[in-house]
Amino acid sequence: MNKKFFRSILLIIAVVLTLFGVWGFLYTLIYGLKGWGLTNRTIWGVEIVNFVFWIGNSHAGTLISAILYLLRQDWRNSIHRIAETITIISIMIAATFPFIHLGRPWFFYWLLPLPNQTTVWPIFKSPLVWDVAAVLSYAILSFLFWFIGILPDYKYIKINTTSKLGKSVRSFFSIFWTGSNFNWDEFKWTYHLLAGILTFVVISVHSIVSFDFSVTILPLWHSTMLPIFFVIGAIYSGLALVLLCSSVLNLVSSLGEKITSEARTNLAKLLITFSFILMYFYLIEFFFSYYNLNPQEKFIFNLRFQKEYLWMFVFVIFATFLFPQLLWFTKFRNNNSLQILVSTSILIGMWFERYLLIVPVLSADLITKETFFYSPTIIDLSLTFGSIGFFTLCFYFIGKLIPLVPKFET
Amino acid sequence: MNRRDFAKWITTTILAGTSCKRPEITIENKVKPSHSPNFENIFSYKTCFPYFPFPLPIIIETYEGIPFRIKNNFNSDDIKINIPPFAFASNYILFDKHRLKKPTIERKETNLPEALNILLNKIKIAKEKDKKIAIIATRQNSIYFDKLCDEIENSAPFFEIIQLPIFDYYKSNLEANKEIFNDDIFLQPNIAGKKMIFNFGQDFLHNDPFNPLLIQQFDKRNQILITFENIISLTGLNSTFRFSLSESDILRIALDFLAIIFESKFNFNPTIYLNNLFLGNLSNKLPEEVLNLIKFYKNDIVFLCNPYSPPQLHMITTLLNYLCNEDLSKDLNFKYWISDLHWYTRSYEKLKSLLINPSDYCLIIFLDYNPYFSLNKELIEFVEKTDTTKLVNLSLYNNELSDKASIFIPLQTYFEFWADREFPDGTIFFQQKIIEPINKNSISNLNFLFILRNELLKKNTKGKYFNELNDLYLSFSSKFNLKDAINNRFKIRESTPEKPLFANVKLNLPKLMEQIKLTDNFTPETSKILIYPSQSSYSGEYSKNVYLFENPEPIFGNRWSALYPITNSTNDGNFEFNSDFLVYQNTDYLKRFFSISLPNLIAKEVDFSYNYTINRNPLKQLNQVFTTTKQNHFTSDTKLFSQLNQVEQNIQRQLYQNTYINKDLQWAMIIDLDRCIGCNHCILACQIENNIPVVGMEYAQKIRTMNWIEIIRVKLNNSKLIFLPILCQHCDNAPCESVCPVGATSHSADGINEMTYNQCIGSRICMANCPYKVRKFNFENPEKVHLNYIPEMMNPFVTIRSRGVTEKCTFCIQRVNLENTKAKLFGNEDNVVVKTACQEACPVNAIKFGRKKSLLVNENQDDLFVLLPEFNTLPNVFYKMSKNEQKIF
Repeated sequence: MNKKFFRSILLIIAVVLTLFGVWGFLYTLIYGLKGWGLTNRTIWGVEIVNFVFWIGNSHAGTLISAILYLLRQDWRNSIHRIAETITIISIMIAATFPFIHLGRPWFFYWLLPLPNQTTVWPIFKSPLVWDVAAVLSYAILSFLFWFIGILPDYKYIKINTTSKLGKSVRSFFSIFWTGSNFNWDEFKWTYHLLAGILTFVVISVHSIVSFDFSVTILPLWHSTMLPIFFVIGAIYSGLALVLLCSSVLNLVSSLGEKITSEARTNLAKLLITFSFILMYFYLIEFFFSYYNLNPQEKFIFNLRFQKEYLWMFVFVIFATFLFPQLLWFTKFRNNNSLQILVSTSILIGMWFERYLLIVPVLSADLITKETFFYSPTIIDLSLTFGSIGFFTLCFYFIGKLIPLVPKFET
Repeated sequence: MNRRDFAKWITTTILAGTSCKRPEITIENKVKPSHSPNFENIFSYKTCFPYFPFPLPIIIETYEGIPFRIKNNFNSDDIKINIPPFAFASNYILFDKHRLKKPTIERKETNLPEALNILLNKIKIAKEKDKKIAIIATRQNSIYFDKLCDEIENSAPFFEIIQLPIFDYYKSNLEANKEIFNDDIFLQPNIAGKKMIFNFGQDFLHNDPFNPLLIQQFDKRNQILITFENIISLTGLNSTFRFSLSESDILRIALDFLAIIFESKFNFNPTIYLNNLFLGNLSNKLPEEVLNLIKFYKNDIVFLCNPYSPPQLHMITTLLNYLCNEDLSKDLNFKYWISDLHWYTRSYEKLKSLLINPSDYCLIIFLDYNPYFSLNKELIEFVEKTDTTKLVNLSLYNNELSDKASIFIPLQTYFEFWADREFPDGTIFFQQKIIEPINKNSISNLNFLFILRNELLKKNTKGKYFNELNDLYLSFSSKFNLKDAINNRFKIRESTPEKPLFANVKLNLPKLMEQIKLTDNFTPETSKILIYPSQSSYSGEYSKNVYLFENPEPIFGNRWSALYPITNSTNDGNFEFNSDFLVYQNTDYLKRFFSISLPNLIAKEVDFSYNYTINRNPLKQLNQVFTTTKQNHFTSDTKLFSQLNQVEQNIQRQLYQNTYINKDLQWAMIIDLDRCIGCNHCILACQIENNIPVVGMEYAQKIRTMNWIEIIRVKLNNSKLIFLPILCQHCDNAPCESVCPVGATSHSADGINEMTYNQCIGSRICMANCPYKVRKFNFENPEKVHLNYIPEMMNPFVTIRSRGVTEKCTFCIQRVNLENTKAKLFGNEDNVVVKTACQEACPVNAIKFGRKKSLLVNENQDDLFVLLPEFNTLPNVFYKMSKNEQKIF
């Protein structure tokens, strides 16, 4: 009863946020970018922050299912499908942001490496083209990985088999899976192979996303540190999201009971590790900016100590480093509600960390050393919150359809 | 689903994907898609802009009969006059919907003949009643206009035609000259070639009627300009020394000068004498360095005076000029701009009689004159009192006056009728009729007087006044040919009429001193509003032009409506904008320049005794201080130039050579910062030339203006300002090109960074990667965002960009291509001369454009620098500043 109440509250909030987001999405598609808070100076804003944030969130799925699988960490068994589902939904959401972010989104296919009969050649030296390739391949591989992982469990997929659609879906699955020894044999090596490929892709995709920034010549972005910084940040926020989802599932659904507490505790331990790695990068960024003699880089870096960004910077340090230190204590680490609190604070902190990385650089004028203040509008906020609502809804419906905790492994 | 179905699905998806739309060269603009611009449908007309003190020679280019571009006619012999912004944006009033109104009688719309009939009937009734009729007209500088006026006054004595200047900047000067020369003349010193200029508050670089003339004579590099002013002005910011003083202090300083000159010339120290005249001491002492400069340049000094300042200051200025120039009496005409103002005094006598006995007059016709705009206090009070049935208004727009008047008839713009304009030296410029009147219910002021005269003389000439105009000039010279007169300079007078010289005048100094003494206005400033008309919109006819509003205000970089604090008059002049002066720029019809001096910033405590012309209380807008479109372009960063002279090193440091660029054909631009005065003319010229949308106030507040050029004001250590225009730098290693995912921006063989609008998908990574931040993004389709969007008026050589596309400076590629094509046709490819729009508009010739190879050879390499050399972008826009200046930083 209590769980159902929580669930329905969550769902109502998710639906409201999704509708809010759909309004913003449609407004953007119809009227263009005029409703956004962008100016002719700060030309990338919250949407790019969201893109980086959601791509980052998708990383934990692959980390847990692929890398931990290869490392034979069996505690992953109860959460790996949750993580993969998060990956799929996150990529889906992340990919919409660059799409609507285009000035003329109806020409998005000019970015794709299609045959050149349209006389449009994607310029392969542009990081945006790499981006498309990286995100697309990551999406496809993650989907395959998720899909293949479900195959042994397909009988548990809740589909109305009396309808025509349900029947065809079932028949579609049954092409691939009969449960024979041959099937299991093929499943094992395919899964293994994909896990191996994905391990590389998970590192490459966020590196390539970071190339959007690091191949530019702007100070602070133009840095070799950025790719690994991005990957670490991505895995960190992704782990937080997995912990958040599994903890919330524990709170609102009977399914959560099947998730082992060992898995959640281990996730919490991983969070502590990554919070220190991230802190190291904050420090090294600080060091780089002050050690080198580039006045422009120092100027841009110092922007985060300016009035409008200072609270953000302090919050980021608190939310992503100081607060998660509570997880050192076993009592807190095993506490469900504290897990939710810490992982939420990490996620919000990581969002603002991306904001700090992207917006101040663009809002600064390198010649006059003045900053043009950028503030998101209601449409920017609708897209941001709408993405959260949409994520929750998708997660709920996928959870309804497929067993989120694998049956065959537990 | 089986494997065959899967294969089908894959195939159809791929086919659908590949048959998508390709980027086509679509004509986004609606400018006559059936025709493309070529040499056959582009015509140039020589004509003149009816600016009041003197006509401005201009060239108007039309495309299929509609003017789209206005240029300076530099070829008009030796008269070098700069075209102010309102003149080269003036074609946008042609299709203005506010202008295309019908005549109204008692606020009911009618057509033109009916309105004229009713007006003529009223005149007949007046004649029968033995009442007088006054026509208050703007001074036209037209011989034919004067002739018509004379004929009307002679034939009908009950008519009084009062010609008034648009702004009354003659008054003080005239009063002063009456005392000195005993004659009705106006004197404006010529500053060309003078080493040193002392300026008592004349803002000749911005808000001054003589701006078009003086701005050309001013040489920022070689002239020492010292300004004393009580408001902050562009001239002040461009001065070598600027002193911020109150009005009374300026007068004291001027007297101080007089004392110094007396001392050096006549060995006579009048300080005690002056101190006796003025109770108290001269409070502000001149700095030593200024005194030394005066001694050094002795005979090369000129003094200027704000036309709106009291006559006493004009008197002192004239005396100072006389005493500092020994040979002034010999060539007064050369050193002074002299205007004969007999018409002015005559008109004011008539105006006085009108104001004293208003009951004698039964009809007052305002012909193109709006006292509300011209700030004629007496006339405004008169209009407020007068019975509305007596008032008739003929003006370009529906204004405050026409709301009051019983009859309103719209007038025509200067494109729509023939006229002659006399330059004060006797040269005649003809104003051509370029297009048929767009408003069929409008009338030109010459035609109106023509009809009126015919009616009064009972002439039955149904012909046009143009024939009469032609005949008038045939009477001056039998060989008169209108075509030649338009193309060449046409003179009706061989020399200017004799004017009084200093030699003929015996200066009675003690008497003049007594005159100067009679000043009780010069108490320290209390709460009052000083009102100066702004020259940025000239007169009412151009105050609705959105281009002029969008153009940043030169001093603070404000756009649209803005209220901003201005320096305290008693400050040291270091441009601190936080004290008790405010400047308010009004956006509505009464756009003008206020200088409000307040005891403090609390609006409620202000007494508006002087606030007779302000419809809205300007201080209600105080809250808008925070919502103004102000972009703080001031920067005090001195490291900006710390890495100068790295141009050469950078070229050596370059990792790879851009092999596509043909070094012989490469274009480059040099901007001379020693010359640039920050007038923002280039911004407006660029906007008009390249069809850049006017985005309006809302977007301007969001920093979404589309100007391709922006001017940054850099404050140097010695508290001097330099103005730094920033446009696309056309880098050899362009950072925008390498990141564009669809190749929409690319490099041409002659080194221009090109933009293919049709290929752009609006990812804006080019904008992010540009360190100069010169790229602009179209947030909206032009017809939606472009205020005053008239497709016919757009430059046909430049496409209009659609929503979601990035744009930037193209080095006026349409002009480059045109000249290249011409050169190819005539086999003159080595000497292609291209003038960009900004270069043409620059009044001080600060911009040079040409082939990089030949352009850089003529310059001293040490004086050149590029912006942000540390990014190794190798820009092709070079900034020039003399080495001595650079060392100051």
